[in-house]
Amino acid sequence: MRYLLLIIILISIPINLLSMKFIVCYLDPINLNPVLKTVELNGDNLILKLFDALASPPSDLISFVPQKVLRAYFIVDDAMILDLDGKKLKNMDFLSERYFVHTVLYTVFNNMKAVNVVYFTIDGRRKRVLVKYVDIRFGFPRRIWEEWPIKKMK
Amino acid sequence: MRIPVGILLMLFTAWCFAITFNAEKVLNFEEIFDFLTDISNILDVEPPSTNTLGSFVYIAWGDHIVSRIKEGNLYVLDNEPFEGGIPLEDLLRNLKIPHNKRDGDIVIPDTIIKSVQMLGRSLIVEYKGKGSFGFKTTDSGIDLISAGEIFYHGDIYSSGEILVNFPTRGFKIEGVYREKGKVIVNFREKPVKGFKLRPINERIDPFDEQLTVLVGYGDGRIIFRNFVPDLKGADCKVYSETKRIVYKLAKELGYIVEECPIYQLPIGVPCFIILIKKPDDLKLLNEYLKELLKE
Repeated sequence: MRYLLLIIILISIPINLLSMKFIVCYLDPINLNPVLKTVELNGDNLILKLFDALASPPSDLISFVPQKVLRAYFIVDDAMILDLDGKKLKNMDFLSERYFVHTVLYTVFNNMKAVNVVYFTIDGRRKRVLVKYVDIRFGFPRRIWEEWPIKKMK
Repeated sequence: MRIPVGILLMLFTAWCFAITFNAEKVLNFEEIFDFLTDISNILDVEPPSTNTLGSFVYIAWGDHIVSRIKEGNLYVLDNEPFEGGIPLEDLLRNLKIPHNKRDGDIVIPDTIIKSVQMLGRSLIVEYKGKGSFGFKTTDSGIDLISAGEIFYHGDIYSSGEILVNFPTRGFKIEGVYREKGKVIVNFREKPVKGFKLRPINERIDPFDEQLTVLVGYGDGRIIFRNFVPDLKGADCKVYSETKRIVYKLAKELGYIVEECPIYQLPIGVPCFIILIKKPDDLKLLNEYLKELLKE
């Protein structure tokens, strides 16, 4: 029994060491305010798993991030390039296109402190707009999106 | 590096680096290698490499291979054979190197301009090579002028020739920012003269001196463009001024403020989108904007 307990402890240690906690941004369905949840991810391709988590909100929250939208990602110096699947984005409207950008950037900048600017490409190519409205010709800076970029003025 | 300028700006890289050859020239193996090395320096691409494979010596340059049988006279450029050397014109055509024929000579450009675009109130030129071009302000706008041999949109422009003119409606050049492969020209800001309200789907003129507000209906929200880190601060003044107006206006109206790079909002131009909550807010918007622009 003692040995069994020791084996269980030894097995659980590396699993705990490999798992990492990430902050994921979802939206309140009523006023679209951001709601942050902590998720624990482990194994390879943590960024792909982070996008899976972004696309799978808890039942009381919503997300505008489609499943499997991230095709690939690259990190060059302090810039991150997110290559997205154009087919997964094509049905977005003015609101969902903007909130997709905000939730993805807010999540990236809150989890990856070494990234200072994010670029989007679509199907491996640089494009003018994400879908129809949001300009993706240039980088998105940390200074704006490390905070939620939508503010209610009183 | 920012370079201050006066009313007239002629910024040239001073020397003409273009390579000129006799159009009839036939290049041997060593000359081809030297030529490709020079071209690589000018175009800022990977230089050629040379090696031996069995009875062949070859030069590799990008996706292209020039080979020759050792001690022989037969050359092969990719899959095309040549006897006794490769004529310069064939070499240039096969390697897709832009060139121009002038008075029996072949002139190779020292600069290839990849794109010239006006982004809001910034002119951005992306190029390969030496960057031998400059700008000149005229009554009709700004001219992009060759100061060497420039390849742009399928043509070669010699020193002094105008590549393109942009109408800038009296806006003067404030400064030129140069980095490897890119030049950004910024225009002097003018104080905002009044404002105008336009439907949300209307195009904004980047050189309009008025603040343009695109009006639609929605949940009581003002959307304005964030600054662009790639522009090295060129849009920062307009960004902070627009942000000041937007925040004050949103506070007066009790609206939401959102920073988002909507494509329709030109970069570095005072403008924003307002999604009006109720028709009465339009009158308030007019009044508040008049007050804010007086400050």
